[in-house]
Amino acid sequence: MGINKDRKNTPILEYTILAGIIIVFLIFVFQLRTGDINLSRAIFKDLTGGRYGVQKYIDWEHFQGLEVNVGATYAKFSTEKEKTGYKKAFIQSFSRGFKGAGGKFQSFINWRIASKENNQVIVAADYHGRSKTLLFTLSSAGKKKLTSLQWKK
Amino acid sequence: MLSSFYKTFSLNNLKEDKPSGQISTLLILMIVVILIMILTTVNLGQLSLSTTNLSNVADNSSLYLASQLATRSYSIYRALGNSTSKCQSGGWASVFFAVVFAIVAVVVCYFVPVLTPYMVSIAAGAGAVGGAVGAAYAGTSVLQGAIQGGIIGASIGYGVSTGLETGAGAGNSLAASEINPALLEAGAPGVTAEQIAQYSALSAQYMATGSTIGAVAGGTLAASTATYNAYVADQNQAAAIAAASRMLNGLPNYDLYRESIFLQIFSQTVDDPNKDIDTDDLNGNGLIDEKIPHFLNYWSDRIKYLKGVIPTLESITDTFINGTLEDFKDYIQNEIEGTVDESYGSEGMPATSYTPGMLSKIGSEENITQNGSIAEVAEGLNLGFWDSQTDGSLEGIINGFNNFISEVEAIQAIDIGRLASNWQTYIKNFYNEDAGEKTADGATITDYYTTLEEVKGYLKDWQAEIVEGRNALPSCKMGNLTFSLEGSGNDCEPCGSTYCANDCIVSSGPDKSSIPCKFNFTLKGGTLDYNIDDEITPALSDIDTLIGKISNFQDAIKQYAKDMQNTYAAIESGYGGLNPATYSWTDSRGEHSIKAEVGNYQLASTITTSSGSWLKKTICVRMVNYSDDGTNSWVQITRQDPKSKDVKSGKISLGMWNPFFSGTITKKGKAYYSYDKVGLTN
Repeated sequence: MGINKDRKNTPILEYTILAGIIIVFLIFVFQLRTGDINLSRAIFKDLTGGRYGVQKYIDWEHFQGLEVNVGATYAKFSTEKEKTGYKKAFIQSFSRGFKGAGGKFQSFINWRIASKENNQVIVAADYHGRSKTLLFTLSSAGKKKLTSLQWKK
Repeated sequence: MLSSFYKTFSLNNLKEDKPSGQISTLLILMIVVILIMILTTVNLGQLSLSTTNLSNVADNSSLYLASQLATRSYSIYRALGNSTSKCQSGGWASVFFAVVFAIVAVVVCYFVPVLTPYMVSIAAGAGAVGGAVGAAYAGTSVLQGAIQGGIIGASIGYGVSTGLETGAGAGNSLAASEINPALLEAGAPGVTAEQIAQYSALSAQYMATGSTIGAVAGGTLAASTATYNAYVADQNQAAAIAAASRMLNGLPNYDLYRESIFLQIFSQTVDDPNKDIDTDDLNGNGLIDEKIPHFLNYWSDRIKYLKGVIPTLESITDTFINGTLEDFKDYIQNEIEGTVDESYGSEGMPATSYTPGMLSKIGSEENITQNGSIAEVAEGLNLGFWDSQTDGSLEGIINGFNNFISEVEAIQAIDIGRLASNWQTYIKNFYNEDAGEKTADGATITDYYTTLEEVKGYLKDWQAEIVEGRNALPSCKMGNLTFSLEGSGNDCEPCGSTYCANDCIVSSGPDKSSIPCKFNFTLKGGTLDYNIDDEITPALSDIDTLIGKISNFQDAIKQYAKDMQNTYAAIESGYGGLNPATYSWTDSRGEHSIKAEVGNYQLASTITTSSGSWLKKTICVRMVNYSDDGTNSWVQITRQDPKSKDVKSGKISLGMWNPFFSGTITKKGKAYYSYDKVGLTN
């Protein structure tokens, strides 16, 4: 009787484990697909919100914002004080400028992976109402950071 | 066959009795008459079209010129807080603020008149002016962070590109038309990044939607482009004219306005069919074996010629801004802050020693631990300029120079190319030949040069005060140094005279000298303590040195202004003349030319004026040359075409081309403008 019961439970346990593995795998794959998107969204949300914490997700030394070579400017500052001052002012101004120009984070829709090659991932988001697409380039080497913010041409 | 043909159509048929031949001949003659009539009609029509076209071009070109000038006036008007002047109460140092304001507000605000799409990109960069002026006080990194962040944020928020040509010196090539008026209030040191970005955004909206004046400019350009496109569409030369527009970038500002008008005129009137091989790829399409209009070659050469002066302008500006100005700033900074030397002490331990500058004053800067020569004497003798808060006090001069240092840094953050190409706008704030003259409301025109003269006046007053204070002192009681066996050092034995061995000052006993006291063996010397070292003479001497340095700097300012003017004056003529400019060509009809001339227009710029007494001085930044009633803002076009040219068919003359026409059509367009209006005038 007991043996029979065990035999009856075994497949259920196996199926459960298998289902769990599949779910974990799917979540992993999904995360792989959405991780970069979520990171880009989070960075952009924090930038537009003026949250200084986002500074650690920006590759300041190489950052290119639209036509502005932020990295080149940032590289000129030699002291930590100057660098911190620059980053704080940049993030605060970015937020104020964005909001002041009528920009809303929610207006950026249809977030997606535009391309993934070598050491960089490009995430795209459409600017609803402006018929423009903003491209977020993330460096894949080491900790992922935002290296570029460009309009799609 | 020829014989038969001749017999049929010969004019002799009219004399002979050959009805069929007469009809044919008459028909031929009628056809000739009709052809002549058609030619005349076409010719008159062409003349009429040319006249109308020229009139239209003159009108829209003058309107375009006025629009550009008005846009410039308007940008300064807005920068001045929607006024033609902006004043602040303050001392002489306010002039420094006025200068940097003039440079940042106008020079950084860099309009490219012929390329209206850039107007939108300018919008995205707006707010930089406020940032550059205000944040200059907060430090360079904060300034640049605020500007760049504001620009990118505002651009994304508005959905436009920044259009900046920024590289390592980003923040240099910023463009803007907006300034926070609050920045001009009382020196405005506390501008935050939020304010900068806020103004970035406001300006982005303002510019992107377009002001009335901007719209006029854009409209006229669009109209002209459309006209030109109609002319050349079949030849696919629109790209060529766009290339011609691009060539204008980087011209000195005054040239840029004039040449953009010339381009507008030529692009609508020149119908030169001649073409050249595009060996230099002037139209930028990558092909060097295709043909482009000959006009494009002419235009390219002309602009290259005009741009030939730019390297000189940049070199002079660079030498002044990063040489003379930098050196003077460093000198003043050292004299205020003093210097700290790191060395090794007697036991090899690191040690630092502080040497005050002549203007060092304890309390004025955190790191100043010792008064400099002037502060020491001023305090020791309790002179008027020691504790007074007036312009001419030590504190006032130090504060003024500190502002000067900040503002020099703000100027240095601007790209040299931009400074050089806009030099006419701000040069009068450095050196104005009219300085000292009165404006209509009684204020006095001033400039950097004059202000420094004023500072020198204060310094000379200090010297006079020091000498007067010193002369009022009692004479030092002098003594001879004697070695004391009982004591641990030397004693000063009174000699009973103020002229004895001058070894020491008696510091004890019944003959103790009072201090501070004056030396009788020098005309200026004296001491503030019992140490016989003379503190007064070095202070006077240091002030002399400072006055000398300021004089040298004044000379350099004057020279800078003159060098820039002389360089610019070197552009006299070439490639059709500076103004008027003429383009000529020859085609099957004969020789043609278009002569374009622009009036003696003035660019809106700023000057500084001062009014009030030294107790309550008001320094104003005033906009000048911001309006015109058409007296100077006009455009004249003269078209010369062949006249009385014989039109032949073989040996037979069919008639004269332009028989009743002098060959010259001249049209003039005049427009009025101010910062708030633009229009055509009669």
